[in-house]
Amino acid sequence: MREELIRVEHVSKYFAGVKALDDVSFSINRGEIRGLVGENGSGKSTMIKIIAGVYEPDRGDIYINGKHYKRLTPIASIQEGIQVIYQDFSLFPNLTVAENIGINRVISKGGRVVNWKEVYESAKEGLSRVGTDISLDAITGKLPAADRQIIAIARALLEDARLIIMDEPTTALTQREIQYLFKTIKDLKKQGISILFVSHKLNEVKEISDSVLIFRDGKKVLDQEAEELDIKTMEYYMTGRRIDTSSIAYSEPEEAPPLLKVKNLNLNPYFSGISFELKPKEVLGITGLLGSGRTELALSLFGELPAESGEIWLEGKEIFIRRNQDAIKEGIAYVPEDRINEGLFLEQPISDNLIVTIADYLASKLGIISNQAKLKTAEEWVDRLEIKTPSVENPVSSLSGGNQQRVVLAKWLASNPKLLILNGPTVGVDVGSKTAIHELIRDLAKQGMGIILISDDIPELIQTCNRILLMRNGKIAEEFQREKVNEEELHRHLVAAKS
Amino acid sequence: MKVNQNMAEQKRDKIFSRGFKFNIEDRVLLLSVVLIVLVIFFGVTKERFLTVNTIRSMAFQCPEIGLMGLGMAIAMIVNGINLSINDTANLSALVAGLSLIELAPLFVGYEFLLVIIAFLIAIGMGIACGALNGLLIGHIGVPPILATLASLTLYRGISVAVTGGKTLTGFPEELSVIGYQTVLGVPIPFIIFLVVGVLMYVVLEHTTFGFKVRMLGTNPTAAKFSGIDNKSITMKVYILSGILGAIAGIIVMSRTNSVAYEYGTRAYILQALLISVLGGISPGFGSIIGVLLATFTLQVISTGFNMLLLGVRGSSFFKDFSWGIIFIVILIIDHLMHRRRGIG
Repeated sequence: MREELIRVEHVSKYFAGVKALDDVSFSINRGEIRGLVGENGSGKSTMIKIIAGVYEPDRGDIYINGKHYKRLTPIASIQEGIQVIYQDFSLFPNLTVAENIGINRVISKGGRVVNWKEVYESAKEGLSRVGTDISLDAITGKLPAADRQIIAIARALLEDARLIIMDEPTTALTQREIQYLFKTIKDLKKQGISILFVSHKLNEVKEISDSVLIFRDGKKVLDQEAEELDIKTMEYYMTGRRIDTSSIAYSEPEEAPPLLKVKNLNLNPYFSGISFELKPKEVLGITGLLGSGRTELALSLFGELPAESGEIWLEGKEIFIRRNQDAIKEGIAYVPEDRINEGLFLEQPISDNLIVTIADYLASKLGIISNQAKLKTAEEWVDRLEIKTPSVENPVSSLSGGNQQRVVLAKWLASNPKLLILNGPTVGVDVGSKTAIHELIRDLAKQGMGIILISDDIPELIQTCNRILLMRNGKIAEEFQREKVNEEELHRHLVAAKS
Repeated sequence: MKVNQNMAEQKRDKIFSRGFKFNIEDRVLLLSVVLIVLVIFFGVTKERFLTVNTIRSMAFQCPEIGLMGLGMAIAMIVNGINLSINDTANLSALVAGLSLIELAPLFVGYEFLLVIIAFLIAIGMGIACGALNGLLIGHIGVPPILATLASLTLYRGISVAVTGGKTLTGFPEELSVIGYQTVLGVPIPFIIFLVVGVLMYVVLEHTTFGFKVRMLGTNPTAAKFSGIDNKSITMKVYILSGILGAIAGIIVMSRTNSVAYEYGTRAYILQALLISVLGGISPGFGSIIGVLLATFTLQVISTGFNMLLLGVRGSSFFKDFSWGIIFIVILIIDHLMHRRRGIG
């Protein structure tokens, strides 16, 4: 019963002379879960947009349900049952669940008066198809990311979706929520709905997909059953090189007085009674589910959410942090989770982004920054972190995700911090940059910088940290030594934390 | 394979950088061309246009609106706006004018000193007006458009209450030095405008303050997370804007030798906005040179049309009308340019 739903043949797409897609062909069958993998800039998003009818291919043909298209329009694509769920889910956070799910159908019907009964009924129908019991009256923005994802899926199903394209669906989800999503996807498969699962998290793609497509530089480089693939092979096809994650040189923490000592730190309602120490040259991991207080703890060390009580000691001296500037003055740097909004000035030149934390230091007594000094400093950091750009005066928005993250790191390293707090430093970053960032973290630790790494990427924690703290309901629940814990065990403890 | 990817990336970066630089440098170039074309056009159609007298009168007229344009521009660079700038100018001038009158008996024979003190008082008032805006916007978080609309009403209300709606006159002669005299044939208001323009250029393009202003305008959250004190920068920006307004007020006062609460209230805010937008100011971006060129361009258009339409009925209506049209056209062009950049 291998019935073909969509076939793409020899599709090419150029942007201003640059090839984004180069002669790509593939097909998706009914009820098939297709993984689509590739680094940033490999052509994944362009392909999604061609199938969704947003972009017109320069060459090639598309067949859907046997019907031939030279190009699709968004409306034609929807009518053929193709639904895309983008990373942000495109929901209205201020509306209720029922409104988000049901409103489309009512609007597409036309008519000027909203029939609320109908809205509720179709919303209920949508939710029942994904088998969930989210309240219809809940405000969407207040729900966890996983629920919002399910709502987006329910909405897609009501549009008679036959192919649901999910763009990086697990980025905002915790491990447990990912399992929930996978269960939903498998249910959809049983209903005969096809899924295109677009991601660069290889283990997830391997776990959920029937077959895997890999794109690199706009070309399809691999199209194979998931069962026959291992992660190493996928990495190789994705990046074009072998990545060695095994040879990790740890720096043993020094048996010296702690670099950072946190005593009984409290901030209602986020966390309470937090005490821990960080030794010089140590990488300390902090993990926990969303809402465990891990991000708030980091923010309070950085002065963004000052703690209500408790002590923070840095290099044997008690410090008082009431705002960001206090933390920076003490030598604490924070690389935020949301680099686009909190870390970068996207439209501004790379150089300006790199010197933002040291502008005062670079300037003369009169507050004048010489252009030369600025460019020189910026170029040094571009070299040191191997940021790929032809000029430091290009806007940061011209960089790929991995290179953008290097800019955020560099801007904080430029301030020469004593303590570097990294919150999800490799989220949304390609495999190559991820390895480079991990190497950098260990290098910095070796040079004596104290590092706190907040992450829920378990392999990342095990590979990079000396010690891992697990937070649960605003408290440090458990502590693991790297050499005494493996991925499965840590995963089990992390998921068990939700109770 | 890797090499290929790098080349593709570099190519893409080049396209991006071209689009980016195109935008700012192109604005100065475009304005220069428009300015020259307009000057030639009016010079050919009206022989009176390219005379020393006309040029000098334009140089007397444009500084006040140019200074307000600069005050508007700096607010717009931090993603704000200063609708109260014209009323800041009027209120500052009013306070200065009142001090001139009230203090006159104490400074008989030292009128020049009195005038300088009055100017300092005006600047002080500008700082106070700006600080209130900065407090509302930076510290309390009121949207700039509402905050400055409210302060506009407040400042105008104070002016009306103090003067009873009357025009203040009868200032010492020394006052008009600034508004009437020239140095080497160049009007003093114009010299003040250029000096302030150069200072603003240095401050915005080459100091840490200007750098932080642009970062804050681009992304306030990232600015905060980078250790920039957003409240203090916002406060300073609106104070600077208030000072620029006060200087404009001083020039108006000494050019007209009077103070009126309603001076310029019909058109100046729109024109200050127009200068800012025409000059290419957007949150985090924009050059002071663009603002200066935009000021000259608008002055040339204004004077040129005045000459062309002299004696034509409804000509003042036509002028308002043309401001509106210019504004809308610029907004459309800007929008299209941004959109093109976004797709690149």
